Amino acid sequence: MPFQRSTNDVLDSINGVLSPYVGKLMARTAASAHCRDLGINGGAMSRAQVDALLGKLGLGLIVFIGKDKAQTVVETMRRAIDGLQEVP
Amino acid sequence: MTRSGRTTLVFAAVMAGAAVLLAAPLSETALEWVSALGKLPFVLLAALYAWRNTRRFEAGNPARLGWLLLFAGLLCFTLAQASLCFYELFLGVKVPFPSVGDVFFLLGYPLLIASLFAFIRSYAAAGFPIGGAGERWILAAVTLLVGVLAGIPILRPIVAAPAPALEKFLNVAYPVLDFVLLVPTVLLLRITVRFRGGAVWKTWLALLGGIVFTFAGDSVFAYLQALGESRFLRLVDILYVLSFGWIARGVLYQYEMLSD
Repeated sequence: MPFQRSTNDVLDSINGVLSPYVGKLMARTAASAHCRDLGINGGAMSRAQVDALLGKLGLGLIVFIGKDKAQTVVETMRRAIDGLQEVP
Repeated sequence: MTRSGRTTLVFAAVMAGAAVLLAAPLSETALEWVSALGKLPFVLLAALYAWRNTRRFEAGNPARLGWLLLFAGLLCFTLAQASLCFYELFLGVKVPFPSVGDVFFLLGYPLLIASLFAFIRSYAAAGFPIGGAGERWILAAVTLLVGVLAGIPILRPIVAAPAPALEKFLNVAYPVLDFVLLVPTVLLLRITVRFRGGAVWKTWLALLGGIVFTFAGDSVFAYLQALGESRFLRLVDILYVLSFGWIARGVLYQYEMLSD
């Protein structure tokens, strides 16, 4: 079965990890803006879409927390998303 | 309370303690020691941790240049403050104006201004929704206009006051450099507001708050100097203590964010 996660759940997971660094409002706004740019508008996200979104967010974080820390934060988001329930 | 919260509490307590002592009727010698010890450790700490932040950002990271320039600016301010302390505490004389400290202060300001613009540039390219370039240009123009309008009544008595050319140049240079510094400060404050609640917000709120206190201290100092007024000079010291204290806390917030 291919990887499918609820878009809302993915965004909630990202917010949980990202908001201590960039604040709740920016975490939500940034993730939503990147989703729009990447053309992610359905109720579910594929692995490729999640990777693309995390890639964008990770690149943005580098100027605030450095490359190594940004990678750690992205991995934490990825683990949180992997732990979400599959959607049919 | 978190470790970071306790650190902020210690910083606030030291700043408040120094401010209370500077407002108290102490001997001139005691006030000079409080003034020196309320500023120099903070600015030294800020320079040290700005350098450590620079080292934590890998080569090629656009933010590294901002931290390097900030370190260089704060190092100049540290040397300037150290020279003022040397006159007051070790030579036991009133700090001459101008002095060697002014050389370091004048070197420090352009570095500080350049660092803030480097941060704006790197944050704008990060892909976070922090507003467009057009919005920043308008805000910069409005800040500059307000600065010019507010600067005229501050600079007029300074220019009109009879003073040696170099002294007059410095009395004009500090407020002018402050007004220029205010432009990237306001732009970064606007960006910072969008990160409210996060560690980025805490870092920049403290750091930029400190810069605003520097602006206030320099403006009051230049005004009092031009009027030959010395009664309120302790207010200037208090503003500088708050300035260096909050700048140091902001730099330390960034270090905590990089190393937690």
